[in-house]
Amino acid sequence: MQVYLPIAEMSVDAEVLIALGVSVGFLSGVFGVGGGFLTTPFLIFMGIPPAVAVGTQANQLVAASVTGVLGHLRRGNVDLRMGMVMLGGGMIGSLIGVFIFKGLQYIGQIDAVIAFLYVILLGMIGLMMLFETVGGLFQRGKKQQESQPFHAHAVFQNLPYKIRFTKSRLYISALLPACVGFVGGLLISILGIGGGFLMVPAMIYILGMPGLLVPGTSLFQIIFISAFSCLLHAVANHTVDLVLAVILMLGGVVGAQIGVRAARVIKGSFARLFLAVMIVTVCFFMAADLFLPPADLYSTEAR
Amino acid sequence: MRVFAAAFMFLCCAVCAPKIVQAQEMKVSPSTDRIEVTTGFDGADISVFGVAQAGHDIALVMKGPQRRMIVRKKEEVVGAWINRRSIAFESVPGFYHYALSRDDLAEEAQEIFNMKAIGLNRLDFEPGEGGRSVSYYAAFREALIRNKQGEGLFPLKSQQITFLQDGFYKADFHLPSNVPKGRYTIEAYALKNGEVKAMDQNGFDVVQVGFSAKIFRFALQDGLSYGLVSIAIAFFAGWAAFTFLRRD
Repeated sequence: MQVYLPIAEMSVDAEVLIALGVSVGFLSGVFGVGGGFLTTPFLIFMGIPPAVAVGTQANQLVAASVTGVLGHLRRGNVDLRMGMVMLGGGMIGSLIGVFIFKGLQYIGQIDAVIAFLYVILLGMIGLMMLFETVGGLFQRGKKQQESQPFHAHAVFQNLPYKIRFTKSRLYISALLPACVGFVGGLLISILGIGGGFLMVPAMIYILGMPGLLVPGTSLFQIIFISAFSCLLHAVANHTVDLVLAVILMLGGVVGAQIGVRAARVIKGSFARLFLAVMIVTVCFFMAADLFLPPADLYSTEAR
Repeated sequence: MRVFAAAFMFLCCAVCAPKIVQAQEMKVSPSTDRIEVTTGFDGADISVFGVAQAGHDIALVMKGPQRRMIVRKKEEVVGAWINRRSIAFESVPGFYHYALSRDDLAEEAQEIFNMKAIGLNRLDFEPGEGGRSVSYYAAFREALIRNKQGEGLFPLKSQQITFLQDGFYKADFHLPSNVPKGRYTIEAYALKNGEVKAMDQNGFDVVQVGFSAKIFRFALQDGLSYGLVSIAIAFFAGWAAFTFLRRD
């Protein structure tokens, strides 16, 4: 069935969109990742303008994060204070991100920058995960040597504006979580991804938060940053396509349910390996797009 | 003999279609004057009908609303392929198609075809920034046409005009789902011996209607409310997914 997307101003196969929503929902059900890293490139690949893909993705992220955070809230695994400080930085990041996006679009470099950032971020994360899981599969039981964690370094400890985060049992500078949030906000506005895969390690290693509180707190602040980013895209660029977003959300809800059930059966380490392979694959395609001679050197854009 | 023929024709015209067919005249009309883009829109077929004096050749040109187009060229920069040069073309029709009653008409009436921009290679869209050689533009121009052809917005070749009856002609066009919205014009030329004997103009509108139009207008006119509504929907969807499809 063809459905006409009013903002993208083109018609696409509704089945393909639903399938995309279901697969991304499945991923989030199994791994708890947002799946934005799959959606944005795929939408662009389908011919949807990058601006519409990213703007709509910000909206879609709100829904996915709300679903995720409610579960964590119920279990009391969200550090609201930490989340608030992070989203303060995140708002500024997403505001700047939207302007960077607009500027890059104006000079015609947005596609290249999206591809470039994807290659770097996904390549890094994917390879790290790959080595970790493959290593873990072969040398089980061997405990890694704990080195001094990042957050214990003097540089981080001596920053001003220290705040006590009771829930996380931390007494650190508010600048740290604000900076982590800032980077997350940039990612949402420029790439249309929640950046959970980047935020979670940052919160553990840089902020030194207890692992249990990290996913919930990360999701909590992603809700508001992506909502803010979505609003900015809607006001400044008119690039949020509601029809597209709703179809993706519907697929995502179904996929997440299947994913959660599947997660009980799938073995953790193999699931992680699968995710790592997928991340590396997306990274590989983006790299090919950037580094292989294109079939057509020319591209056109209406303005 | 000639007088007789003329008289006979006049009589025919007077009897058959007194209002439309007259000597040296031609008419053109689309099968609809409004194409509606709905949520289920998947392109549309449109036929163009008309009358012309028998024996005349006919050329039709259909043009969509004009836009400014930017063409960019990728170049290799430290191994990566990145947009480097760009040219803006003013007044590029968002849709262009043409139909001829004979394929070899173009060679016969070259001057007219050039003047009236019939055929892709005669389309004249001005490069926005001047000061470069013609050959520099040519590659960009070609790329623009190739790209538009790929999107189905420019033709690969002309459509055939068929005569249903002496003087009554018809041509079929297809508008893909990504056609720009706005006013479309149709120009029809009656040609004989490389000269324009008569012409007519008509047009139709491609308009977004229904739900899809409402969303489009809402998003454009009141971005703030639109954004807030989108966020509210997302919040609701997220909450509903958690509540009604519980994980346990």
